[in-house]
Amino acid sequence: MQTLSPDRDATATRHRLLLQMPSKSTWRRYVLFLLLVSPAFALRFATAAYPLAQTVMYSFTNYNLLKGTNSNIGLRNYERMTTNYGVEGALSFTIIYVLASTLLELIVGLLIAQLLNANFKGRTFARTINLIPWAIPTIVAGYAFRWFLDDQFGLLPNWYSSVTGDNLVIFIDPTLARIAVILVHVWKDAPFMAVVFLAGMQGVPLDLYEAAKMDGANALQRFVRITLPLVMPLVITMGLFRIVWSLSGFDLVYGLTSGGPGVATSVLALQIFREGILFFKFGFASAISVVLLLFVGIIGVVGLGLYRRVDVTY
Amino acid sequence: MSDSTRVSRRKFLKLAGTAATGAALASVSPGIASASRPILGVPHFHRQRSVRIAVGGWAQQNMLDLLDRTDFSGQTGIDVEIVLRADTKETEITKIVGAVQAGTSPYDVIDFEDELTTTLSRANYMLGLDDILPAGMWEDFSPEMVEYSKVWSTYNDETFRVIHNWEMPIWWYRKDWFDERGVAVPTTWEEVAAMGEVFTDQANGVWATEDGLIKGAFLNVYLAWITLQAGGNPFDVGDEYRTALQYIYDLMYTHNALNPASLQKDYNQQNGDYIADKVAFMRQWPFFGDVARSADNAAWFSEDKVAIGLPPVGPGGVAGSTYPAAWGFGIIKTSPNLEEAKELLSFLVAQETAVEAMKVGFWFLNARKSVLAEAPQDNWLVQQLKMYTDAGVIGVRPFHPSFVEALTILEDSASAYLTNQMSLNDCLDQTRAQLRDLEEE
Repeated sequence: MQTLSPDRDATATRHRLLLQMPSKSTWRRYVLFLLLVSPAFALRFATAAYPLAQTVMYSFTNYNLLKGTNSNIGLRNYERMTTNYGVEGALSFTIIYVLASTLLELIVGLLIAQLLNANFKGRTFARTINLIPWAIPTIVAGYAFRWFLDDQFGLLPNWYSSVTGDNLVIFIDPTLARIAVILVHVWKDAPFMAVVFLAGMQGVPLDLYEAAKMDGANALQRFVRITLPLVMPLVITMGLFRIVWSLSGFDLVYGLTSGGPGVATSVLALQIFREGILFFKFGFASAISVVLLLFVGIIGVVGLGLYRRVDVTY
Repeated sequence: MSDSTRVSRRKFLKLAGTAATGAALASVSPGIASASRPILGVPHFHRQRSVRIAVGGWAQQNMLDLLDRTDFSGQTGIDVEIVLRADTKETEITKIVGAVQAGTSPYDVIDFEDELTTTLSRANYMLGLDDILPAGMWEDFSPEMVEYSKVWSTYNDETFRVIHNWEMPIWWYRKDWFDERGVAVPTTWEEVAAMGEVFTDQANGVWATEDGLIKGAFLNVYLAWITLQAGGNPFDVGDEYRTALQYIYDLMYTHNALNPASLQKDYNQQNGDYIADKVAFMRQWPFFGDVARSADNAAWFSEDKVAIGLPPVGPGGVAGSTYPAAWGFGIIKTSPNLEEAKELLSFLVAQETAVEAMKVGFWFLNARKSVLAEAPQDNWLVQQLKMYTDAGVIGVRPFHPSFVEALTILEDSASAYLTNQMSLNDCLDQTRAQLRDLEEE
């Protein structure tokens, strides 16, 4: 066996260490990497991480811009949320509203996309006008539908009255009001879903359909067995986005019902707007925001898990 | 490029630095400074005195006319810039709070409504005005205006707003319909309730009365109006409020007098229904008079369709049959031109200016003695104001120190009760608990 002298041993160790040390050019690449990444990192830190941390901190305070209070009150804001009539109502309707409208938007969006994917005369025109509801500002849609559903001038109550002889007063019935808000939301945003799904459907190889046809699959079977599985990752992604967007939006509710009757159609985002922007109670508004954030976080995790399960390649 | 024209890096930096310094110096000099005649070759700068006043879009021309007519700038040497404030209290408060927190203000004098008074005054944003008000100004105010100002425009014994627009919900009715049926205009709660049988025809969408009661400060107005007629303040959540809520509920569901769909309507929808011949009488602010008389409604309009009566008297008596709301001028403490703002406000609220203001537009109509004396007596709005003032039906608008928050609490639970989502007792308990929480904060 060959043995090394102590001097030679030390030299070999130094040599090995030198081999492990990054070279000058590698260091340069590291520095360059840091330089290139740091603006994006700083931006995300300043616009996302810091406000998020600040919101969580505020949620434990009674910070009120107008009253000048800003002291730590522990979990008092969270306790108050459990007894606050407005927040309680908003919490329950938010869950119903977000889940129901997203589910309906996905279904209606898929159906519209399927129609628009068919080969017919005027397809381009149909695809264009499909997007009109989505292009209308939400607050405008809210006010427009307030008139559309008005008991005296509204088209829908008028039709209902012509058929049944009864008056339809939608927004003084909590259930009808909730349904109306959800359906208007679906009317407004399903076209956008449809466009996205249409893009997905156009990417499905035609030979799959032809092979299925040869095997005797009908249209419904082809949709269920081919189209749906292949656009499922898109459906989950869009569903995830819609849920998050719906959670953070309140403009439709604000314009259509102002959260009424009572708090039947109020949503958490509207409560945050009221407490934070109208009353300047940043502490309490932050606590509601944290709850909303938790919702978004849970939904995000679930959504990502689902996405991994249905990821497809073809 | 030849060597002679090439700019070295050092030279470039020097030039750029000099230019930047010059630009910076220019930008920090007073924005409204203007160079006047040079004295001994040295440019002399003087600061042009100026002030900014914020008014609603509807009042811009009136304010312009008033300042022009009274030649305020000519008399004082102060240039007045009229800027538009936001239409809604929500947007306006956000704008002001942000600016005040930064130690400045988007304008010096602001024309603002009741809903902003409690927020701005309790946050100590408004300047105390007592030292700058013209002598004898309060003597010119009607007793009702003085009482109102003590509640809505005073904080810590200091006036922070002087009102110029003073108006109240009016009791409008279809004189042609009442004449046709041979019934008198209802003057009491009981008579109002009885009108359901006379006018309401649900199959054709016709109701004895209707209101704009959607949440978002609409419902609160009616709650306050009816509770005042019951003799109380809704924010106290006392017996009077209970009586008022029960009465509204009965009007809707027992007597079929008040259209329950009012709860989903704003004022535009309410006006639309009245003009569509669906309503026999209603409470509405004076702006409906202008809507009814507008060119759009010329084919429909006649004076007997928009007759004005005294509001109904409730258990609280005549004195609180209706209440006024007001707009007035105030100065934001962090105003950049405080002295000029004081001069302008002092000028605007002086007796002579108040009269001139009324002449340029009814946005400045109020119950000041001098104003009412000079107002055109044949105008419907002036006649209404005189009628209500003489009849002594004007009470003070129900007040709460955290008005905007408190009205939201009131509306949430009242709307739930009036749409059968909770009992009256639960509604009152809920309201009390929420208001108690608000006070404890």
